[in-house]
Amino acid sequence: MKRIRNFLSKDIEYKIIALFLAFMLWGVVIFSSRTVVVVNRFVEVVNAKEGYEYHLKPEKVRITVSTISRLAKPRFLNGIKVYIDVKDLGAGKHRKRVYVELPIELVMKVVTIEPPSVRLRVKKKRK
Amino acid sequence: MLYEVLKEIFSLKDAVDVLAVALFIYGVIYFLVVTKGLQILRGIIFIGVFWLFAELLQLSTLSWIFEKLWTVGLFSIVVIFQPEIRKALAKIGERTKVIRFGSVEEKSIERIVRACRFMSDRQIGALIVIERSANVDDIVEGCVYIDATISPEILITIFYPMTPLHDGAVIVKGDRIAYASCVLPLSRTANLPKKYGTRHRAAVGITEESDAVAVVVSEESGEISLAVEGNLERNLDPEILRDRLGELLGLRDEKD
Repeated sequence: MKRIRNFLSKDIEYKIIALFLAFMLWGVVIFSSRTVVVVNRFVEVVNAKEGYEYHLKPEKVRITVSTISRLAKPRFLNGIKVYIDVKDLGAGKHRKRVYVELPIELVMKVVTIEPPSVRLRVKKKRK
Repeated sequence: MLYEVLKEIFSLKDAVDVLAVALFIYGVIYFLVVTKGLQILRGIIFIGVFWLFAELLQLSTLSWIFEKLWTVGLFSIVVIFQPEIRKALAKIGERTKVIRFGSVEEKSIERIVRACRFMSDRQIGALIVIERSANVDDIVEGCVYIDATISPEILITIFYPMTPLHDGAVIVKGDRIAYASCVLPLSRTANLPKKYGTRHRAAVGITEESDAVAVVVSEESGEISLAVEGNLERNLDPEILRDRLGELLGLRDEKD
């Protein structure tokens, strides 16, 4: 017990430096080991107006995401959402850019979206 | 979600990992401080900062030189710190020892002490290195293989002046005199009083490089000293020497 107490109280400044450096090193190792994951997602329509039908082509897009190896697991990847914003869009044919919403922005990065945009046909619903 | 992510990234295993690395880094820092390698570390940090500036200012020639020096520098550090690294590794081995081979028996200590008493009374110089867990074969040089049972008569005969084996150290391994006439590494410590010569410096030297203990009998005064872990316990009488050897060789408990 006395030996443990002596060990803990001795050279405290060196120990703090060592702990800090070890933590930094751990961070470098963990956050630099990135992996690339490909997921397919249905494109969601955001800000859809009542009384309109939205037909997308293609309905699914392929997303390549770069993340740290430890987070490349289904429970984290399931949170990836793909959408197009149809706000103020009237009836007719359109091409809209696809947006990706990541569950953890800080450690996930979108590499590619294939295709980057989708064709959209907006039709007024018949009453 | 954030909690789940943090839990996934930093688990208990990582905490152990960080602590183990911190312990290793602390060991390196402590080693540099103890071996006075801190000045060298300061030099390396200075060069590192200089290199960083060269990179930031895009001084290509200077950066190129530093890049080339980096590999050479790493090897140089190993070469410069070779004795200290060996000593540190021996220390780790000493702390993790599990089985002791060929340990010295009480009667062997008694015989060494008797030989030392005889040589001390007649001012015959002697240097006896008793190996503990770390092997000293790689540290000592120019030895003559003996492999004899320890006896006061053999030890006295070896160290008797003007005989071929008297100049150098005897290495004791377990209950055998393994070698005689060995050349030991000399200590560079400044703590040793000037009155002590090469024999005492060699005794301290071998205990700095390994966990061995060394008994020295002074040729000038007949004084018996014991070198342990780079320190010299001076002017011991044979009874104290017997007790200390018993403690250090694990035959009896050490006193605080």
